[in-house]
Amino acid sequence: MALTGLQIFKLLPNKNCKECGVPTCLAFAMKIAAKSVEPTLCPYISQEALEKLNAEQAPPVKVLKFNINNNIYEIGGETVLYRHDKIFVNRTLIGFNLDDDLDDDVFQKRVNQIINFKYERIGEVYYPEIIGLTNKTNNKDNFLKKYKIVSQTEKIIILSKINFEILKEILNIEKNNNRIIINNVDEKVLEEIKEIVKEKEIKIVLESDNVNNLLKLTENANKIGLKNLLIKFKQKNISDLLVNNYRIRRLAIIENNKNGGFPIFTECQSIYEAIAGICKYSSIIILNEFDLLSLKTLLILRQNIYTDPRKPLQIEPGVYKIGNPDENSPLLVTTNFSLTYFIVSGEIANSAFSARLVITDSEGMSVLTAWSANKFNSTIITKAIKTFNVENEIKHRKIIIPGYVAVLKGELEDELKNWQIMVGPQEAADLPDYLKEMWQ
Amino acid sequence: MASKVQTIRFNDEIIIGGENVFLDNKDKGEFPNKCAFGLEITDIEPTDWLNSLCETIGREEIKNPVEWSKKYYINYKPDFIFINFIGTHQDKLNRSAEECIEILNEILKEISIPIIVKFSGNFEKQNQVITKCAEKAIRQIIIGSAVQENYRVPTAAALANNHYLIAESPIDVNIAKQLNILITQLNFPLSRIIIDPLTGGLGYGLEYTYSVMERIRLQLFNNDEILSSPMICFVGQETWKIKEIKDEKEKEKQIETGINWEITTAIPLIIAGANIIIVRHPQSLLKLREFIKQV
Repeated sequence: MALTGLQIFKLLPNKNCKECGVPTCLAFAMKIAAKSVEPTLCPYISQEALEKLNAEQAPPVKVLKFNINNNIYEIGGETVLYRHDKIFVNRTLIGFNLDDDLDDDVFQKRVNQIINFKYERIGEVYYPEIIGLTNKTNNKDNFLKKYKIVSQTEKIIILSKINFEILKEILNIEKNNNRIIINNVDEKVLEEIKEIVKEKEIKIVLESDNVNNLLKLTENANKIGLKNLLIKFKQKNISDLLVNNYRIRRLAIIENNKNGGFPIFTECQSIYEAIAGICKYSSIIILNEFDLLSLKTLLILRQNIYTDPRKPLQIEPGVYKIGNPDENSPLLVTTNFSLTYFIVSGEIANSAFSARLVITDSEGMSVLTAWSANKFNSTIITKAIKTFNVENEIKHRKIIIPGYVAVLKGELEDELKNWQIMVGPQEAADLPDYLKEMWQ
Repeated sequence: MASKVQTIRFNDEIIIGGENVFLDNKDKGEFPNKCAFGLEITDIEPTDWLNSLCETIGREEIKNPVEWSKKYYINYKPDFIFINFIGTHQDKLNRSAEECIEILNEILKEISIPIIVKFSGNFEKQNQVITKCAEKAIRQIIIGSAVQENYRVPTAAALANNHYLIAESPIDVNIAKQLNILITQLNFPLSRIIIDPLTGGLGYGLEYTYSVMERIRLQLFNNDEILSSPMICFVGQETWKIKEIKDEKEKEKQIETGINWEITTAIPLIIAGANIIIVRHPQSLLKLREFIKQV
């Protein structure tokens, strides 16, 4: 839990010297609480107070950063258990694990498939951020050969089941240690690798099959100065995964237990586990089954769960341009329920047309609801067209209304003289076909 | 103690509700019954279902709801069959209440699992059919849907004839609550209401449904008893119409994507507290069973 302004005030020297640029220490404390200034701006703050502030002001789940050729990824930093309480901050990063016993050409092919996987949806490009490499053969030369292929990519790399010898070699080859995560670190492995990991600031995954053990592991790692930690449960089934993830995240966020406040790493045997992990707190999902179709749906699920729920469900009424419409492009109208807008504009974007979409002020209701509540009728549509000066932007006088409100056609023809009212499809998904057939 | 979701015992095998925690906290509370699964059928051959999906069902069965439900019942043993009476819509068959009850009773005779029904058309038409089916059904059914603008007739019909009632709200926790208040004010027992929070499919508003369901459950666990109804999600109809599935050119790919989409929509909703999930593809049902075995 973050400190309040008053609690912070008690840690300050109370000199009111103004050297921080703020008139009083109390005002400065309030600004720290609001995270708008750094406590280090105070020249007289004690070291002890500074440490306390840093510890208390940090989010309950530690943030880890990856920088791959100036492509920055962050994980952790979460502050709530339920997305509706605020927001889930940093999305789950997702990728496939590849075993080093794959034939060279199969291995290369899979890596290529991973690199080439890009999927664009509603203005956003989705792709997997991670490649995992597992030591199955215990053959150092073979592993390093595979590693060289992986290191050509711009992905975060997860090294699984490796030993100290292999690790040393890899740290010699890899120019960017920042993008490496070492998986499967239990007490024994930790003992072996702790020096090199500490020196090179490598991220490691501490693993255990129960929460209490894991808390001890992170506590001990912290004591010897290791900071870049992730945590992992060796789950037996999905229930195990859900229960353990919830318990540790609850400890971190509600009970302020620092030893539980690390990003969760989840290795998935099935798509079911991956879905559960994305919903419930996993920061890294690594899939053992190479299935690109499931990857696509998982990336969409991640986008959904990590969307900012504070954004209103309504969008601003107005005329929205989709593509680069000219004066002859189609004109459509619908309500300002944001889902309706997203779906309709998405379908227009998928059609062969650029278009203008008039969004009415319908109190955020969907088409049918707004129509039955009298918030999407001929008067409201006419008013929108007049207020937004649509007539100045287009040459034609044709407007497409949603198929569900075909009944409005007659009234609209009365209100919008000289306009042709076209009845569109009921489902937005049919818009591309409709436009192709009906728009000349 | 956190309040529990109402337990509904449809028969000795099909029981839902009873939990007072989310799945991810089940070791700290009670979670006696797992999510149950149903398959959707329609009373007339659906015109907007993908060819690939229709072929999986069978070209003959899809024209005959009795044969269709029997086939599902025998081959996949769903917990529920959901009969979506799209034929009652004025623009479709404008099917009469008499015809509907005939079909419904034949299915109720043939198969022994609980049946969920919903009807299309304007409220007047829906109410006509609901009243008739509630009165004449040969056993207890689950009737959909009471909505804020039209809850009196469906509630009265379900109350008079001892059926279950689906209360549908538009992804809104306050309306869900308000509707349950309105329905119970008509003396309808809370123990026979099932909430339909309205499903947004994966990529099409799933997160809204997900969060509204979490909020409904959290309010209940904070002892807001009026929200203790189990929740049902109609996943199939929000899935198979989407662009990503229609865009697949090969039939097999289409089906594979559809199934994938159904389960990736359904599982988050189960985690958020769904008690009944309705899908369209039998394979999705089998996969969800595989999932539920592990929780």
